[in-house]
Amino acid sequence: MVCKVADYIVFRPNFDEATIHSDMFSQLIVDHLTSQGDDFIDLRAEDATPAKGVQALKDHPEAMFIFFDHGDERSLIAQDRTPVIDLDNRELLYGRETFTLACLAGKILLYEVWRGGGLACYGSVEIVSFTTDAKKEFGEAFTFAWFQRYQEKEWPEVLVETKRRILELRDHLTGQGRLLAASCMQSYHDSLVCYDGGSDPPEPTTCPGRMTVLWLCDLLHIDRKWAWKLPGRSTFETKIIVFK
Amino acid sequence: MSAERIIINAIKAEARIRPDEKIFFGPLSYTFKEFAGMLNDRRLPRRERKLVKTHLKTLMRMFETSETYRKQVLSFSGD
Repeated sequence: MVCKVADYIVFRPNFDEATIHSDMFSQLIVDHLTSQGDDFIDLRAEDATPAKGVQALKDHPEAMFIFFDHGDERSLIAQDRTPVIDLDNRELLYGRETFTLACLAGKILLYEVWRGGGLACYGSVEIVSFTTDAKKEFGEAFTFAWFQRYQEKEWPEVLVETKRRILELRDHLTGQGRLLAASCMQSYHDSLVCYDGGSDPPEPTTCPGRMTVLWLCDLLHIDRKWAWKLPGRSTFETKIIVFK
Repeated sequence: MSAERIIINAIKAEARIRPDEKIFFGPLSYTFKEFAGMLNDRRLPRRERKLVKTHLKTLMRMFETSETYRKQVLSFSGD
């Protein structure tokens, strides 16, 4: 049976309180795709498994990958709390655009995806924060870039417009006396990157060992993932912060 | 009074208005009341200490660079 080509793969685990909210945010995108009659795959909650995610990516090599929610520097996390995408299988994201709402993935994973052949990679280089007293505003902030891209704007313009809108939302929240919400909005603005949307590469590592291995990988045309797999201070800090 | 103290007072004032609303940092969440209490708690575990330190930096920067934000913070803190 020939499977219909999908233009989008939405991957949205739902296993803790944070992902309950991100599920609501991602629903804005899903509702829009549905209303527009677009072809998309929705891997939600129990369907957001690594196996189903990988298969969908293999079956639809050009579909935009839309990922909500948990991530770390080296991976995007599925329903069972294991990676659906990490440095070992990142080539599944080559040749397509990737849109994420995920902590930290912009720091290493998305950059390496883009370097290896991702068309554009959008995400955050820090932990994503939000508050429950501004869910409407955060829903807009977290999906604004996607809606801009849906209108076929180029990624550099998408990033500029998104950052502009996030600052407007920040000011709106400030004006309403929602100080914590405004500060989370500022954090999100500051952490946003879009590789091939004009973002500079992430800050280079300062670990001498890792720098050396990266240099060797590039020199010998070896997969750079081996440099990122070296344990370092940031690895331990991420593991402590991201998951209890 | 230092800028940091003013900001902390403002966040505590906001937390008194909306104590049960939550702030999320990735998978971690705290009520506004809990988070306000963390801001000058010197006995925090390492994870929370790092979160608070990072977020306070953002609050400080907004206080220093945004007149609108500074006015609101001063208003909340009672200064």
